[in-house]
Amino acid sequence: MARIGYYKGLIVSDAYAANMKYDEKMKKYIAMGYKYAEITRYFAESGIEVKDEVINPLPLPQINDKIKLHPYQRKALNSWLISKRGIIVMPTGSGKTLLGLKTISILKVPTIIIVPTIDLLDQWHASIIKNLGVNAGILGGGSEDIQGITVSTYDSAYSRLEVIGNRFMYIIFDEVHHLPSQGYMEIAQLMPAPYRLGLTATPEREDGRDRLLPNLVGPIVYRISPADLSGKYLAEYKIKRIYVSLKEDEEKKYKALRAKMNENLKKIGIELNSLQDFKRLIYLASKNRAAREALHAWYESSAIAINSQSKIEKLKELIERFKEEKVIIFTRDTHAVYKISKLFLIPAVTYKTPKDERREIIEKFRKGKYKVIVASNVFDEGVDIPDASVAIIVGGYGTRRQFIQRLGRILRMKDGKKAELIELVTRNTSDYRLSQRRRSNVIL
Amino acid sequence: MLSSDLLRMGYSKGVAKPLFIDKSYVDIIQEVISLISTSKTVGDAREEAKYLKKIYDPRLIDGIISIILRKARVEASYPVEPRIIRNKVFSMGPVTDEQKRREIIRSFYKELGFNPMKYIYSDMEDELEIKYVPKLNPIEIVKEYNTELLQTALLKGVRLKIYTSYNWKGIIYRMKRLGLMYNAYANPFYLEVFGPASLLRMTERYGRSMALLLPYIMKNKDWKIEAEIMGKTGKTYRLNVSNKDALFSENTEEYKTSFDSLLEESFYSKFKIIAKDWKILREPEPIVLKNTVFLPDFLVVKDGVKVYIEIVGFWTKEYIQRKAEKVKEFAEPLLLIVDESLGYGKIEGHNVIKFKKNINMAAVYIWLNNYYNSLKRRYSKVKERYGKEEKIRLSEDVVSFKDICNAYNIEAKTLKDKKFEIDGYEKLKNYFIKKDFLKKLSSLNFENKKLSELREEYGDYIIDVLEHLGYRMKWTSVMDAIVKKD
Repeated sequence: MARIGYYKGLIVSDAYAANMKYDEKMKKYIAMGYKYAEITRYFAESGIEVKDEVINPLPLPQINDKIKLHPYQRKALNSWLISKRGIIVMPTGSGKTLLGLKTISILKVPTIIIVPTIDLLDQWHASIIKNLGVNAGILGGGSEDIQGITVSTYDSAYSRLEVIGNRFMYIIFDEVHHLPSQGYMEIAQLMPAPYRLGLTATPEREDGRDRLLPNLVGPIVYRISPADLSGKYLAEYKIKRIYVSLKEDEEKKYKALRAKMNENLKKIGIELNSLQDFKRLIYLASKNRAAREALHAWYESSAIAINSQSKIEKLKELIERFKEEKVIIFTRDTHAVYKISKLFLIPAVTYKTPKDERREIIEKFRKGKYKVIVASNVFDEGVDIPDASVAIIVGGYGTRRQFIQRLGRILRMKDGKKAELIELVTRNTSDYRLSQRRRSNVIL
Repeated sequence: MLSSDLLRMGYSKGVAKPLFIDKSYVDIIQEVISLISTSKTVGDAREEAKYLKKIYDPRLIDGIISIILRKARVEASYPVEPRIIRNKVFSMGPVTDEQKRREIIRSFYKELGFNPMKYIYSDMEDELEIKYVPKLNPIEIVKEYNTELLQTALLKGVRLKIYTSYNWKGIIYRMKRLGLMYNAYANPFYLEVFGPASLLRMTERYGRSMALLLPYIMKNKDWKIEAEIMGKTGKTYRLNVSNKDALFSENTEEYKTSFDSLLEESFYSKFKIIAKDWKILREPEPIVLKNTVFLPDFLVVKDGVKVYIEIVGFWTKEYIQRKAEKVKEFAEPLLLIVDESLGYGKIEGHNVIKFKKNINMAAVYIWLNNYYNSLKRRYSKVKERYGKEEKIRLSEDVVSFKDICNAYNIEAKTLKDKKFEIDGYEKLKNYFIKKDFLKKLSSLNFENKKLSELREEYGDYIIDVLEHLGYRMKWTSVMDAIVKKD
């Protein structure tokens, strides 16, 4: 009889199985945690009896769910249930959380849900209590309470892996596009849980590492876009761009900086045409003075273009125009957030905002005590404010993901709601190209 | 440690070199120090340092600033909690009309006597005020910068080899705590450090632990590390640094390290609640036995009765047997608490408590008290007899405690009692030695001799003698050392 167990992320066995390697020090066969399913399959197929002590499951409370799924959610659920592994791609606001909770209620095994932000941690936790009628543990944001159903941040799951590793049978990765990073992917690799679900609106990553997802979580088993759901399950929406020009003094500075940048780029023989070029520039900046200066000039000129005073003037008009609506303003950096906050007396949310103040602001925004909030990229993911209907992008990155996520903030369905996303873009500058890049390949 | 965006490294041909600084940077540091002065805000000080960032590598300047700011006292200063100001001000927004905005601020001013906009974000880092900066020695900053830079580089560590001649026991304890594993090699003596997952994959997972280990390595006068670190593109680089490569802090700050596993942590805290009559100590002095060194997790003590406790995670039969062998040589008992699910083979024995999932603390407590009581019973009998009639007479030059215990049926504890003495003998850690003989030994010079050779020539007691005479061991392997005099 073979015996298999778990040791700090590893499956250890005293008998050989496919994909296992003999280790001299441990005097055992070892493999990464996620090979667990394969290893047990190997023993089963070879007719070898196994004493399996890999998973030490946490007790699971009695679940009572009353979750009703929309037809498209049901389809997604059924295609995932075939192998109980894989990724479901659905837009924000289309009920990913409820779908996830339904799977827990069906599988009835100890489950860990891994999320990228504290806000999502809170939201999942509240949603479990409300929809499954049970309490849940929280790992992260200063809390270390581990239960049969636990919600954790990626960071905490990563750093407490050795402890939580084999206590769960099922992992849900929310916003699963975070998972394939160098560090986080070890959460998927070192945990033996055989059942896995990934949820996201945007699985693709600019660095291409989403190719690792099938191995870590499973293939994409269902996919539906915002356009498919708009009007019926998601709010109707439109996207608008408003162009502004740099102020005279801004333009002067901008041009001088760009000239300096180009001069330095010439010195090192780089043209900035792609993300690769840019990465090379960053790499060279650690060795080379000209590269460093080029990067610095690029950075300062972009800051001028992205945060032009003209945008602030336009923003003022927009706040007036939408005074009956709930508005979220997005910026690229925290500096701009605080500037706008002080200028228009609007509450700000950034990564510097203390957790409980952040909760208070969101709560007041939900209840309508605040009509407008301004945020940097902390709000890109996960905050649910059903009746927010206008998003104004003052500045952002050139990534498609951020754009779709920010749009997602206003798509949650509410009767008769018409959502609007407005992008402020500075003409003839790098800001214009950023805007183009973030919209390329977006099916909207 | 610096934040990783402040890491400065040169990479070429597979080698990574942290860009350490030397005495020539004292001027720049002096300049930064002069900018960070009292009654400025942190944001202002950073702003003023901007020109330095144009001249030098900005990451260097930010690194120095962050080290200095950590030493300074910074405080938020405001008449009313800024969060309250924010709540009040934002409840009146949004405002797009300049006139109306001014009115709001004015009415606020009337009510409370200050401009709310001045203090609205006074609790943010950039608005904190520098209250006090201690007198700083730029050379010390150079040392700290280099130390932290190296730590930051190790965050990306995949593998680490440590070469050092002293204090490796302290290093090994830290390693255990930090969840690291190691192999020890001889000639030259070095430790190879890694974590469980490194057996299967190149991983930075243990880089943080390696970085936290560094201060303990640096406590030694001589040290050298050979690390492999992960570069941005997933390529690995060699990182070799020794104490000779730059100025480093000698007295590095002790980081509070938490237990590697919750198991040990919870054992410790539960033990303190349940077994109140026993004192529990983490990281007791390593036990050096005949052919090996042993580092138990805990030492528990009650009225001078000592028991070592080791929680065994992963194990094999041979491993436990080896441990059991070790234990036999040692006067104090070692209680092994063994996770059944993590090993293979049958394991039984008086000194073993098995568990699955959770340690049964009651079983541990009962075991300890049984041991204590049996010892006390025997001890009181011996005391009766010994007190009345027997007197110890020895003729040999050196006699071990163990032999005395066996010959006279006395407990080790009695011997270790300060009051227990034998005429004409000096009491060492584990031996009684004739005073004349000790005098003879003390006239010899053992410096630069190999410990293994001395052991062969004299016997194991020589270790106690050397310690008594104030020698120090420079270890060349786990088993052997060179004798040194300070």
